[in-house]
Parts: sequence; structure tokens; C-alpha cells
Amino acid sequence: MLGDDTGLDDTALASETAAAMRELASVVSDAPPLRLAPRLRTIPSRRRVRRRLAAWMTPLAAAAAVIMLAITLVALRGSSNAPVVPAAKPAPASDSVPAYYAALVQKPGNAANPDQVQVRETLTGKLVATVNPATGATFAGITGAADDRTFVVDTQPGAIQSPNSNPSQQSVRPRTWYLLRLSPGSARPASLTRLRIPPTPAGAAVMGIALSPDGTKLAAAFQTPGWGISPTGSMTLRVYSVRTGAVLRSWTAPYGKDRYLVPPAAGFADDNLSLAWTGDGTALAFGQLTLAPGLVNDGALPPQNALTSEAILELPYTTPSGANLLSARVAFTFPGGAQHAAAGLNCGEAATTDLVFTADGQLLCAGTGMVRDPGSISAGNCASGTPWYQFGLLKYPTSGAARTVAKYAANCAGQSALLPLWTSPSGSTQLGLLSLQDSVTKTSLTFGFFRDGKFSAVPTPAALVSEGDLPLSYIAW
Amino acid sequence: MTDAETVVTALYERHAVSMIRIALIMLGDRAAAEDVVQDAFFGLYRRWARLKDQDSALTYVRSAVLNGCRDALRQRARGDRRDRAAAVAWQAHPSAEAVALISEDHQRILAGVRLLPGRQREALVCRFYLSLSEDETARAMGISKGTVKSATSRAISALRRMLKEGKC
Repeated sequence: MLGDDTGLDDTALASETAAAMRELASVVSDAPPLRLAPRLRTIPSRRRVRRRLAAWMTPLAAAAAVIMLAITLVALRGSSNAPVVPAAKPAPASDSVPAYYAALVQKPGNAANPDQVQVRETLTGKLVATVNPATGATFAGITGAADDRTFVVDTQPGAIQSPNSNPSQQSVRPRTWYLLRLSPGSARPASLTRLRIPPTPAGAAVMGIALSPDGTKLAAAFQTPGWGISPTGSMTLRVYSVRTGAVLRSWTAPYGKDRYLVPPAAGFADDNLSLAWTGDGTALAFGQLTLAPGLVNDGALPPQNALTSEAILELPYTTPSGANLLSARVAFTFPGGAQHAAAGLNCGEAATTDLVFTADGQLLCAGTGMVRDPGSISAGNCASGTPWYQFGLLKYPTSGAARTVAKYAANCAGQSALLPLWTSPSGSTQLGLLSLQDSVTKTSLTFGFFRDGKFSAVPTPAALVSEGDLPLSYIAW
Repeated sequence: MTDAETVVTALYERHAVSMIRIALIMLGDRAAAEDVVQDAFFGLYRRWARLKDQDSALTYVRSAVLNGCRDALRQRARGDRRDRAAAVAWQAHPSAEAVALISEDHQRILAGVRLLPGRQREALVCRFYLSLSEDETARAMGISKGTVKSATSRAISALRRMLKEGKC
């Protein structure tokens, strides 16, 4: 409407200005509690500063001495052998690691029913803010934009049932959508604004959600009817305007007897890893499974036992509504499953369920080396020498060899895995989760980032500690 | 809780959102807007016993919010002179929340409003957002009716020029 020459007379421009102001005002729906005390704005005198410094210096000096001692002890311990298990020391500060994450968490004993969003500092785990859902609702999913400040969360009435634990109770209640905005350091570090996106259709399960990098568009994939480990319903992928709630695009895929879209790996609805925008926000990517000849998807076959190939499909945003999702362009094909990718780096099973892109569209791939059966490390699977996990970048969409960007030495005890969660725009830094099994019953989760080929552990998000099913999709950066 | 606390808290609960909205339009920054509104209500609380007409408390708060925004803009302008680059960056990049929720045309208009001098910006908020008459705007801003007219007219002209020249 507003070109270089606005073409509006004064009255019309005044009217548009009023409308713009009203639109901005509508962003505010609540206020922080009133503080009946003055804000501290005065500049302290030098004398007062000196007095304060003197009061602080003594305990600070003592604390510094303790920290130095601790660092020395950690360094001594780390130098004794090759660092197979990452040292649990605070990670160094970094501009390239997103400063905050938002996680859906639940009170103890309330498994799989997230009743709070916690915003924490990535490097320290320090709690920045908590946000509660409307009375009687639980959070269902979360997805973030590229700015580390803008997120979309959805809620559902009542509790969530985990499809893994109880397939008969599917998560198909209508979702309500909210914008979660972070303003760390302000009086209101996190705010929740209800969006105009309509509730999900009755009986539809939300398979995946993805907020565009610029935070303006929300993509959501629904399956109707309900949920299945091997989907037997039709799939709809819609893109909504975050601002207006309008449906911008809508594509569908009919029930597929021999091929279908990859269900989320964690088995939870509202997954934020199996559906992704490419780094430049111009296309959506998702996985596709194709069954071996003669096999029919009846909803009962676990896909990994029956597939012949896995692929990543890419659907440009410019694709007109109504197009068949399965006619999207094949960006990668992994014959025989992603773990058998014919790439320089053997991508793990997460290759089609954890889609993480760099800003220029490279795909982050987590894989293994020095193992007989590529994809994961387990007891008896080691070939020779020390096995390792590694992150690689696949040039997208060509199917060339992955370029290894980080390695992490592991061991052959138990079953372990490395899952990609986030990458910096350039791909130089990655966030991932290491799940290391020391014995049959003991699994340790180590969350951290790789940079310059080195792994630094950071505090594991509360959502992962308290939830046994590893709902990685409950965390967003 | 004292009477003043009770009354001011009740007023805050009823009107804080509308006041934050005004401050947000003036300042373009949610955190700064909340701070200004907190200060305004705290000022009301401190002056409650001396307030001649307690029925006009809301008018007092609105004026305090506009005054607070004026102060914040002056402080920001001083900072801008010290760091011009930061000022340009602030004006050019709206918050992600605004990007997500506000149409592109309206974002351009709001960016233009943020580039206006404080008095012109305040006049637009009073006249177009609060729908105050010229007399009411003059009283709220503590200026003459004629100045309200000229500030409003100049603001619209400047806004049109910025839109035409692609400056917002």
C-alpha cells in the first residue's frame, strides 16, 4: 500500500498512523506487578563506590582464590588421559552460542504434561523467567526463530499423553497458539501473547511445528485422523501468518500405502525437529520413508523394519496451495535408511528426523566413525581403535560427502547416541546432546556445544533431566 | 496496606496496560515503557496525600507517563549524540515482536513516528491514538492549542516525506 509515493492525503495518512499505533498497542496485553519503590537511577558518588568496593573486595578475593583452585584441580584431572567423557566444567562464554533457550518442563510426578515454560541461559543454566499456561491447559510444543528471542508455543486443554507410552490415547486436542517473546534484563523478561492462528482441526494430531527464521510464519503439519507410529492418515502442512493468523499456504499428502512422511523420532506430538525451514526461510524440509516392495503401511509396522529408503524432501514456500506434499523435490536420498548414507560421514538415524540447517542451507548431520554398523555406537559395534561421534555439514541439496566439523571421542560401552539440536548460521558451532550409556541401566545425558572441533559441556536443560523419553522437541533456541 | 497503596494498586491493575501501550508507542521499547509506567504510578503513590483532586488521578498518571516518555527520549537523544551508530541501529531495527505481529506498512509508519521529534510524536499519540481533542492535547502536553496544531501538521508532513524518500 505504501509505495515510494504514499498517495495518501493527510486524513488518510493520519488514519493509517492511528491504525499503526493501535496495532502496536495491541501487542501489550498484560503488565508486570506494581513496585511501590523507586527505581535506582542515581549515580553513586565516588566515595560510596569506594566503600562498596571495599565491602565487596574481601569476599570476592576469597571466591577468586577458590575458583582458581577448582580450575587448577579440573585441569590436573583432565590432563591425566584422553578426554573420553567431557569435563563437567562451565563452558567458556561465546557470542556464537545462543544466549537463551526456552524449555517446556513439568512439575515432578507430572510426566509428559508440561505446565511451565522455563527460559534459561544456555551456558550457565541460570533461570531467567518462567511462564505458565492458561488455567487447565498444558504446553504442547515450542519452536523458535533465528533471533533467540522470538518463539511460538502451543497449549492444549488438559494433559498430554505420550504416544509411546499409550498409543490409544492420542494427543489430538485442539491447540491454542501463543507468541513467546524474551526481553532478558527487562522488568518483564518473558511475555506470552495469544496469536490469531486458529485451533487445530478436531481429531488432528500436530506432527511437527517450525517457526520461520524471521519469526513471521509458522509451519504446522497435522495428521488426520490422529497419530500413528506408521502414519495411516492424510497429512496437511499449513503455513500461518504469525501476525494475522491467516493461512498463507496449505498442502496435503494422502494416506500413503508405500511411502509417507517421517513421524517425529521422539514419539511426541508438536515436534520441532522433524519439520524445518531451510536457513534462508524460503523452503520447508521434512523426511519421507519408502517401504520395501510388497509391504503395505497398515499403521502397525515400525518403519525402521520395513523401509527401503529414507529421503529429505524440500518444498519451496512459493509452491501453490493444494500441491501434494509427496511431490516435493527430493533433496537427499539415503538408500536403506539414513544410517547407511553413502556419504563421507555416516549420518545417524536422526538424519531425517532432526533437521537442523545453517543460514546458507547446509544440513547438520550427526554420525559415527570406527564402528562396524554406522549410525550409532554400542557395545560390540566397535571396529578398531577409539570410536567417535562427529558432526558434519552436508552441502544442501546436493548429495556430496559431508564435511566433518567436529569430533567427540566415545567408548564402546553400552548404547550411545549424538543428537543435533542447533547450529550457528555459519555452521562453525553446534549444540548437541550426547546420550552415553555406561551400563544397561545407567544412561548419562550430556548437553553441550562443539566449536573448533572441541566439545564443551554445559548444564543439561531441566526438560531433559526430568523426562525419560528425551523430548528434545520441548526445547528451542 | 495503606489507603494510598490500595487505591494506587487498584488503579494500576485497571489502567497499567493502557498506559504501557501509550509509552510503547512513544518509545518503541516495551521494557522502557514498563519502567516509565512504573515510575508514573510510583509518583502518584508518593504524591497521593497531596493530590488536590484524587478523582483526576488517571489524568495525572497519563501526564506523568507522557512526561516520563519525554525524559526517556531526551536521555536517549543525549545517548544518540554520543553514539550515533547505535541510534541509527535502534531506529532501523524494530523488535522481533513488532516484526512478527505488525504489518509491514504499519512498521514503516511506526519507524517514521520514532524518527519524529518528541513533541511531534507526542502530539500524534494524543491526537490519533488517544483521540484527544486539540484542547485536551494542549492540556496534556502543557502547550498551547496553536502549538498542538502546528506540531501535528508538521509531524504528518514529515512522516509523508520520510515515507516518500524511503527513510522509514
